[in-house]
Formats: sequence, structure tokens, C-alpha cells
Amino acid sequence: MGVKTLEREVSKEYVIKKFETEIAMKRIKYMMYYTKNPPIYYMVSW
Amino acid sequence: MINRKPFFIELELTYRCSQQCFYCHNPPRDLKFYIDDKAPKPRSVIEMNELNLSEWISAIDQIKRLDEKYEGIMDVVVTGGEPLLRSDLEEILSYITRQKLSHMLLSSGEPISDDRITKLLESGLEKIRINLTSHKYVFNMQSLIMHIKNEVVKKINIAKKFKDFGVKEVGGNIVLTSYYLDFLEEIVELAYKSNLDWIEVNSVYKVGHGYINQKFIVPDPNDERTIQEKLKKLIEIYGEKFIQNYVDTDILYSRIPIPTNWGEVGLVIVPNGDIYPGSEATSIPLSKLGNIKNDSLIEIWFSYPLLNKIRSLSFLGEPCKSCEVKKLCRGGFRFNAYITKNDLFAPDPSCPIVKDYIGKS
Repeated sequence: MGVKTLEREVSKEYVIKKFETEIAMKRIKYMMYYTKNPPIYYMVSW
Repeated sequence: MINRKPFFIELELTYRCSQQCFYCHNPPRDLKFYIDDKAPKPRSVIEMNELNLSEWISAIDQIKRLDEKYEGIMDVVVTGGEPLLRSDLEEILSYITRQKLSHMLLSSGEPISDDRITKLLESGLEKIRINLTSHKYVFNMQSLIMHIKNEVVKKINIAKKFKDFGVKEVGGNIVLTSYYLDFLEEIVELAYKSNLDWIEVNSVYKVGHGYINQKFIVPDPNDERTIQEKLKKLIEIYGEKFIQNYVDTDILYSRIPIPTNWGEVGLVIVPNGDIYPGSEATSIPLSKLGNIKNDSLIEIWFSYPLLNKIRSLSFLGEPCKSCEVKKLCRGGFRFNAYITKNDLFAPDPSCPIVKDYIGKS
């Protein structure tokens, strides 16, 4: 339960790839879900 | 700018609470955000006068107008603090039910009695999510593991009781803090055997008390692979319908920014009726959109300048303005912009692209 210090840095390319693939898919799935289903609760991000 | 209603309106009926969650997003009493190094800070929430029953009824009338006039699907999320601490919760739920608004209760399940569950059922409760993870006993380090396990078992038994009494959908919520990581499989197995309908596994979000206590509740980065493997295995065993996984370790460890969802997802009404664009926004006075007693929910959702500015991305400066993923990231997390720059529209400093840009300029 100690204080965390180790945090890995990532590159600009990694961020862009992550958004273009995983986050884009999550966003599409989320928006599609809401057009058909009763909402679920997920407030902070996609 | 937008032609549909929000996906949900969240009613935070009270900030009073029976729990002690170190990740609670409710605004801390002093609204001062610092990362505490010494010990987790106990939950202490800003004090405000709560709307009374008739004021919540008027708020629900406004929500009904928004729901019936516009396209889309919308849910009313009833939460707090702990909504069970409102003695008029049944009346509020009954009114939401009579207005034929889809709704869901988010609760810790405490305090509860058989009589209360029956009354909630009679009020139209069909869907509840019980939070299984709080930190009520973590100050007792001598028997921490026993207390954590006992607490989870108690919460799952409460959830099971709601199910046994006839609530149609009963889910559990696990916020994956360092305190609970070792017990994840046990919690999920017990929840499954207790016939819960789903388990949400959520990340710690560094907002509200979660920001202040982050050094104590974010799992050690050395455990990243363990987290991913545990979740993968649980999904393999129980399926994606039962395990709803919202943990993204790149977000947990601040490697990528959290996308802004203000103006796209929902609105939050806090205990005194103030309206905010997101749950993390309730800690940001600058993001207040109005008050349900005096302002129109419909006008706020469709026309409020702050929301339209966020929706249009016209607030973005460099490097975000030229970034190729700006439509997905939407400028990053506004909470981070606010606490570091006291500016709702500053670039999110957790983004490596922003960090790189600032370093070069």
C-alpha cells in the first residue's frame, strides 16, 4: 500500500495509436449501445 | 450543436454518506486539491443545503420534459453520497417511476432493512448497483485483510437480498484500489454465486478525494500486468456481460488523457440543485451550469455556452488544436486543466503530447 513512484512514459505515437484504435472503438461501441439499449452508468470517460 | 437528450441525468440527492471511500468523486470540503503523502485523507465533503422533496419533484418534472420532447434514450441515475440516507428516497423514486422515466439507484446498500427494501420495490425500483468497495476499516491496519473481506461479504449479501426480494437487476461495483486488488477474484466469484447480474470493475479516477488520496489507492504500477491478466481471466471465466471492465491502465497511470465527455453524456444535479456537466465537474466551481430551481435543464443541455464550446472543440489551443486525435480525446480531462492551471480550457498536462509541446516551447 506504499507510495507509488514508478510510472512509465509513452511516446506521442503510442498515444495516437491508442486513441485511433482502442479509444475510437470504445467510443463507437458506447454510442451504438446508447442508441439501442437502456443506459448503463459510466460517467467519467468512454 | 446537439440534437439528442443526454444519456443520463444524475441526481446526487445528498452528500451525506455511510461509507468511507478514498476515491469518492464528491467535492472535498475545502476544495483544495493536493496529493497527500502522509496518509489517506478521510472523506470530508463540502456542506450544502439539500433540495427538499418538492424541489426534487420539480427537478424531475424538468427531466420529464427533456425526456419526452427530444430524441434519444435517457436514464435517471439516483445517487449521492448515500441516497438511502434520504428518508424521502421512496417518494422521489415513486415520482420518477410514475413519470415513466428509466432509472437506476447507485448505493452502498447501507443503511438498509427488509422493510426499506420492500418500500423501495413498491416505489418502482428495478435496477440497483451496490458499491462493494469502501475503505471504512482501513485505518485498522492490524486486521486489514479480515475487515476488507468481511466488508465485501456484507455488501454482496445486501446485494443478494435486493435480488431475493425481487429487484430485477442487481449489479455490484468494484473500484480497483490497491486495497482490493488481491481479492478481486474472490469478490467476483462470490458475486457470481450470489446471483448478481453484473459486476463493474472501475479504475480509480484521480478526481475529488481520488485525486488527494491517489498515492494510496492507485495500485502499484508494478502490478499493471497482474491487473490486466486478472481482468482478462475473469472475462474468460464469467463473460463480458457479467464482468464489465472499465479499467484502462494507460488512463490509470496517466499515460494518455481521459477524453472530455462534457456536453455529450450527461448532466449532474448536486444536493443543492446546482447543475454540472460531469461527476468530476462537481469539484470545479467554474463548471457550474446553473441551478435546477431557477434554470431550465433543456436550455442548459442544448444551449449553454460552456457545453457548446466543449462540443465544438473551439476552446482548443496548441498543441491540441493541431492534434490528429483531437476528436477522440476532445482536449483531455478538464479536471486536470483546472487543478493545474485554474483554467477550464487549458491543455490537459497529463497528455505526453502536451508535455512534449510545453517542454519544447
